[in-house]
Amino acid sequence: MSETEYKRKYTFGEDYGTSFYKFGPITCGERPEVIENRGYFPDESMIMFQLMGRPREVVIGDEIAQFLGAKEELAERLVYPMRNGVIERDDERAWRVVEEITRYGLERFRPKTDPSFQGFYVCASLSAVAPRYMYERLFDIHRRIDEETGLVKAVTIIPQPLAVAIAHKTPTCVVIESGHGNTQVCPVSRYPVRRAIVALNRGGGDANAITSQILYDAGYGDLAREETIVRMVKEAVGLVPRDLDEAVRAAKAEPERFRAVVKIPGTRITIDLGEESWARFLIGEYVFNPKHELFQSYFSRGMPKPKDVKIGDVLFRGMLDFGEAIVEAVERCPVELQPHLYHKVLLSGGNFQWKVPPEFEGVAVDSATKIKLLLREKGVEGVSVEMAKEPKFSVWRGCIIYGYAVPDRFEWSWEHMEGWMKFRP
Amino acid sequence: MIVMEGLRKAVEEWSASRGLRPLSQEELGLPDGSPDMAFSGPKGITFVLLLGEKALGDRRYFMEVVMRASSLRDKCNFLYLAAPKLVAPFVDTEVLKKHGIGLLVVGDEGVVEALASPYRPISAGRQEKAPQVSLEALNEVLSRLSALEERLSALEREVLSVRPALSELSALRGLGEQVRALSARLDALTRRVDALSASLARPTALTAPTAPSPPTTPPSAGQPELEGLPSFFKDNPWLEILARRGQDEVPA
Repeated sequence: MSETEYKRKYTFGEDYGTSFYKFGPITCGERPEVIENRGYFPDESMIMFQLMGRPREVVIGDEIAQFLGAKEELAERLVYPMRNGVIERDDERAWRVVEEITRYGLERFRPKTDPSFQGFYVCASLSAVAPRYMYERLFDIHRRIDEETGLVKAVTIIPQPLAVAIAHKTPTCVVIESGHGNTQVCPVSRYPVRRAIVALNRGGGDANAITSQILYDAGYGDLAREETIVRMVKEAVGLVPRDLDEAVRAAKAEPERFRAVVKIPGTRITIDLGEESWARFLIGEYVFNPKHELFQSYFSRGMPKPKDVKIGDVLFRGMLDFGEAIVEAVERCPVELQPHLYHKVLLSGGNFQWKVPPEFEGVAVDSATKIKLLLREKGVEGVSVEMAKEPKFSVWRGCIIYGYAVPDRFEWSWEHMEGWMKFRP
Repeated sequence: MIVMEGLRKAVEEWSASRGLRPLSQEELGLPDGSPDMAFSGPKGITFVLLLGEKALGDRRYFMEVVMRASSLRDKCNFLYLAAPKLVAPFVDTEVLKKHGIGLLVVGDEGVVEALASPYRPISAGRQEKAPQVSLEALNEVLSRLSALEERLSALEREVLSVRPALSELSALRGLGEQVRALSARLDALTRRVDALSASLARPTALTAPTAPSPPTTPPSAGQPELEGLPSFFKDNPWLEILARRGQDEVPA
């Protein structure tokens, strides 16, 4: 069987997202399988475990539901390894979850009877800001799994923005991937331009933080602490303003038109922001540009300001607006490449899924338009900004194409951070 | 809540539905300890031990049931723990499996065989003492040992003589790698030739020669190699770009 024929059956994609792990072979077609990227560490002091022997150290997938106990316990025992896109070098519990999830994914697609099967060509994808030790650990995990199961013929790791660009058939572009905890801006020109990557310490979680503060101000202090409710309110009433000052003025002038009311399904709870409904524009603005003066009053009342933080070797900037971040990333690239990069900006990730209700057109805008406006403020015109189609699966699709197309003979190079890593002689 | 009587009844119904006949304590004839329930069937003897909801809070009780199960394993062909649904999630099936014990989960919908018990033959008893080792047998073992030592020395001599041939073989391994590399390059070339022939076959390419061509040649949708692959492969210029990885480009 030729390499191409083999890869048509046994190319395998793995996307380690902040909330979900998307995985599966090329034969899955358009969509991979999805499980939550999390693991539960059962309490080993439980009487049953003492008597019947140690349980599995970490539980993943649907089985977690059987173990969930009190809320207080969840924070300690339920681990989301990729919450920030970067796992600390010595966060052993997070790495255990990654290993268990990876093993589960590969075992799930083990061919039943095929004597020609020698393992998958696995293409995994990590955050663009993942440091080198994350690559090393992930290779180690695949090596161990291969030693135990024979399921990995070769493995490679690519940054998520490169996978997005591949899935969208765009060799030259800027990819902005914005998840729950952070945002990565990565120029791509046939390769990810690693030295130009800009990382932001801001994501969907920050929009939740300001939504919580708005609920508190509107008299819903009790609900402001419930993460699920806060997220539902953000998704239901949050808007991205074309211009924040104008949007707030319009909302205050016509409070009934902009009134934000949310009914929580399956409960008796109805949230009505009433006179505070203008604040719904703050939710979207905060994601794109937290520097507006309106946010100062929130910071002074104790809402944490997005800070510059260093995770691993990477500095995540707190207060840079998205326009500045794109300009900074592009300007780290060669001048002649810059116009081509501005020509196509791809937005990917759950944090760009903002709706524009028809009645608010003109005042509220979608993510692509907001990015264009921010870039225009910086003097960058003629930009094409696109939302990734099916953003949930685009990284996995990029992995599949990469794994299929990159030749087997191209061996892993730590210098270029590309190629196939093989563990067998 | 399922009390012990409920458990017992549910297991009785389950066993009856499988054609198993209940066995009395007299029929069992086990003076050292007996199971909560026992059945006889065409495949052999089945024992069942009931694990009540008391196990959730009473460590001693739970321990006793497990110990009893363990002590009865070689006295029956099939052995099960029967537990209410509430208790079942706390029982580690991996450990049960290891010890050849099955698990019956009893809920409102009846009995579910969550883990099948493997068949094990009933032990004839362990009363017989180890046989005495005779001097003759000992001598025979010693003579076989010396024969084995001789064979080992002969094998060592063989290995030493084969070593030069092995080093020649390792030189050939390099040749194998070269052949593999050539085969991979041939694959890539085949892909590119397919892409080129497909694009030449398209009439538009002939009728509109002045149209600006894209910087890379994406594989055609009609390319036989891509047939049956997901839609995101169609007209994807990255296929061509990635196929050249490791040949002529280096990342920025």
